Amino acid sequence: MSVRRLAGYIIVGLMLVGVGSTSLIVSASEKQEIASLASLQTLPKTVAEIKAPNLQEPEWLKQQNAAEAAARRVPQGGSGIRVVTYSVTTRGVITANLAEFKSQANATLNDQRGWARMGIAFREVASGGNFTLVLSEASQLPSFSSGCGVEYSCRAGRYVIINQDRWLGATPSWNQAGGSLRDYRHMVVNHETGHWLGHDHAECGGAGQPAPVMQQQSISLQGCIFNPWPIASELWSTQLGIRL
Amino acid sequence: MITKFPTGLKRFISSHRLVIIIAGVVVIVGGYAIWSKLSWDGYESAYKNWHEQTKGQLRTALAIPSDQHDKKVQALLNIANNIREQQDTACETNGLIGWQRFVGALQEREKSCQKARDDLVSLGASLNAFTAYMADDQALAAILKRATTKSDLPESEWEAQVLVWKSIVDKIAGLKVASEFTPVKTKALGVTKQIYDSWQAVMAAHAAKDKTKYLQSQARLVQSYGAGSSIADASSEQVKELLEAVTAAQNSLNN
Repeated sequence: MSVRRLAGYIIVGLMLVGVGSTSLIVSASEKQEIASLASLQTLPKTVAEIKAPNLQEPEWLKQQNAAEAAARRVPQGGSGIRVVTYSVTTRGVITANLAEFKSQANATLNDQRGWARMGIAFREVASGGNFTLVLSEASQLPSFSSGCGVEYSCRAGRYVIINQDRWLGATPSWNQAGGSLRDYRHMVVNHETGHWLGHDHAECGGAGQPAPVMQQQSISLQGCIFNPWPIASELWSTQLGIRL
Repeated sequence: MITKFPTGLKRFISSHRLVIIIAGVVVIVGGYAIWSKLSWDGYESAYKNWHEQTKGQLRTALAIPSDQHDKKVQALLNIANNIREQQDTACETNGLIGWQRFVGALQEREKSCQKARDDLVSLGASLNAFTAYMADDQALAAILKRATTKSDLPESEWEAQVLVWKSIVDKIAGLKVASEFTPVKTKALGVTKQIYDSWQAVMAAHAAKDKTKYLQSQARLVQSYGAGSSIADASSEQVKELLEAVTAAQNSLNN
């Protein structure tokens, strides 16, 4: 085969690859444009704006509370339902939808499969609160504590910190196992809030069983199956004085 | 009055009659063949133009920024309407040439036209479903928008909230929606009913000045509002399916 003919084949080959890759790019961009039609929805924005109002203490309750000095500080009813407040903040460059983060985190915290089973209602407040939920750029995690790395989410003192990369994309092992992003978000919010409630990491109870939410499921399942919710034996909190 | 041909012409016609008849037949058959060719070419270019124009319209509609919500949805709806208007008459052949489809190549043209039409009809149906969904999405959002309130509510404003939520539940219940939107409507109805019930429990405990029940109902109220995001989750699931149908239709269109 002559050099000239070989060069001709190479040029034709490159042209074909070029045409093929251009059509792939066009197709991918059209797919993205169609996917972007989802942003035409009005509901998610509207729903995110609907928040539980803070009911100002009625007069009769103020009077009762004045009479019951002991009950004044902790808004806890005889039923054992307790209101835990938290504020939401961010650190670093945030590309995730913050309204969605707030809304989904609140839904997870108040879900009856989660910590709310202990008789807790979590209420977001504008500032302060019992703990602070943070959506953080991955690179900013170590700024909370030397124990926090850029790879995963973390809890440091009153800060329950969700790593933005994990929030947006879960972890490879989670994705490979076919877990949904929504479940991962449930799991990570429950896990880090669990630390604030007083939990350390837990181990898998046995092959095939649902993993405790306090197990480091992003790292290893130890034979357990993915589970975003606290199991029955995890329903306690040293922070709130709730025992098994 | 009978026209008399000149004697020379009469003689010419009588001596060349056969040639003249053959020439006439050739002219007629040839003319018909040329006209048929042009008709089939026109048939082919008509459906190809329709196909390409629709693809162009879709590209244009997709390029409209999402913040121009109404314009973008209307552009998508226009595409669906255009397809619907043309789908019944597309691929029809003129009776004078339709019989020629026994010729393999012409039959192929007709099949190609029908394939293009079917692809466009799929696209139109998926866009129609999506735009209908968006109309329902806006209608439900408009109802729910009434629920936004200031963050701190004095007891004097609680009763108004109960009425607002009652009206929201009633309006959602009476909302006529497309089948694709039904799961979202059902979810919204469940969540808003739960919030309304929680408000009623708060008001009952408040009226009875029952501190235990009041704190309990207040906590449940917070939890019931927290379930609001499940409406958005249900909607996202539905939209995902609708957009998968649009993507599949577009893929067929491009192949």
